Amino acid sequence: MNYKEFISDYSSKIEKTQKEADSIVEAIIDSMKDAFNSSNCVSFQGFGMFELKRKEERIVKNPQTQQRMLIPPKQVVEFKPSVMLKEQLKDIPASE
Amino acid sequence: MNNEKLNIQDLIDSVATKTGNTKKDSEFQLKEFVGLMHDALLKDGIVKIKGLGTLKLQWNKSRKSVNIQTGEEIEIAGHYKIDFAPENSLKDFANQPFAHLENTLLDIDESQQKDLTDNTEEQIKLLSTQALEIKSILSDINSITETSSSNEQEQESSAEDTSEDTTTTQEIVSSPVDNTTLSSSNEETKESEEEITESANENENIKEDKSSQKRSSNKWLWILLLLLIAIGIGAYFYFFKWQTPCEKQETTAKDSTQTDSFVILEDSIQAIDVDTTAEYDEFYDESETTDEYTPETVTETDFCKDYFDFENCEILAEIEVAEGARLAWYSTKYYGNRDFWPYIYAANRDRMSSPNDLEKGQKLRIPKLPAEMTDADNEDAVRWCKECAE
Repeated sequence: MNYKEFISDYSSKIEKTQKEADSIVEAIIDSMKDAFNSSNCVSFQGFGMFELKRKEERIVKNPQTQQRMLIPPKQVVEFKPSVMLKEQLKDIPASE
Repeated sequence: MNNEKLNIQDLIDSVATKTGNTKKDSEFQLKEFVGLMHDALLKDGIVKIKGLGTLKLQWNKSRKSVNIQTGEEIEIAGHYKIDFAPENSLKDFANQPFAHLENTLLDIDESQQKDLTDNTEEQIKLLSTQALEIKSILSDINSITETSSSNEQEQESSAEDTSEDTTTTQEIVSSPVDNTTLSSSNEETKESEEEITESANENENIKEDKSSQKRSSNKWLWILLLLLIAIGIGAYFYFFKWQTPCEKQETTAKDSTQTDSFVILEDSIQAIDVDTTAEYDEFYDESETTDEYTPETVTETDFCKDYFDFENCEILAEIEVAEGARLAWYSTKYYGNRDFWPYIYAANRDRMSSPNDLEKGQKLRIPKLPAEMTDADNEDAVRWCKECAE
């Protein structure tokens, strides 16, 4: 489901126009960013948790040129699914 | 504040202020938002949300693994996992504190190689500085030898002045001798200087060649340089030693015309000793040794003619000059004493312009001389040769 479909579904659910729905989603994500800014994580019960994680600096080596590279530390947003969601995933039939 | 888990209730306030909706509406909207994400993800396996990113279901194939504790082989069943790929805007936002950092190359290997090359360059630099030092030392040595040789010259001239005063009978003869000896001694000193400078040049050449080589040859360079310097100094002192007895001979010979002969004998014997030892100690450098004779020979025939008719005397032998030969050698061979060489020169005045003028293959007459003239114990004969030599 892409964002267009998502907004149309969302707008129908909250009984708002798509434009309003779009602004609401934007507001939600902004408030999530605010939470990340203050080093908090955002947990949605029954779904999962978005959290900011720090990746430490590391040294990699290019096997072809044998050049060593220092990768600086960085912060990334990670999603950690809740146990409930994991259980639900098991119910989905295998894709093979 | 930090590291708190915020749930929907905590987000309601900020969402409500941003959208302008009531908190109740906001809570509903938030719950619906999460619920729709959840449903869509499970239904379609992928949800794209603008500003957040993509949530995607990913199938992990079953794989075999080992129970770490028991060592049993277990099979991890195939399963779905949720893959979250944040949007670029969210990535940038999250990485704001470290945004200024960039990947940096750690070319340690290359830098080490650079260090190595730097080291070799430094070594070469060191070598060149050492060469410069050696150069300065050599120039110092040269200056010292120059000054000392000039001193020597002065001494010689002063000695000859005094001897000139004392001589009464041979004053007329000895004055040209002084002039010639002076000039010839000038030549000698110049030549010796040239020799030293030549050797110094050679040293420099060798230095330049060697400095380009590696450190291992550094030792050999030093040894070679020291050897060359030692040879140069040795040659100079040899030259010095050679000079002093000549001076002694001059003065003593001239004094002898007036004073008693015992002192002269002692002096001359000493002089002979010094001469012979010096000769055997040093290399037989032809040019050097022939130079040494220059002052001694110019006027000798004047003396010789007074005593003995060399041109019409009996000839003991006629010899062919070998390479590097000197009159003193033949004197030693035929008369048993190297001091009697002026006899040979006197007998060959028509064939050679100076005692230095010995060429390879040249014919020389060895005059047959009375026994008293070639007797090393005969004071008069020895003295006569000394005079001739001067």
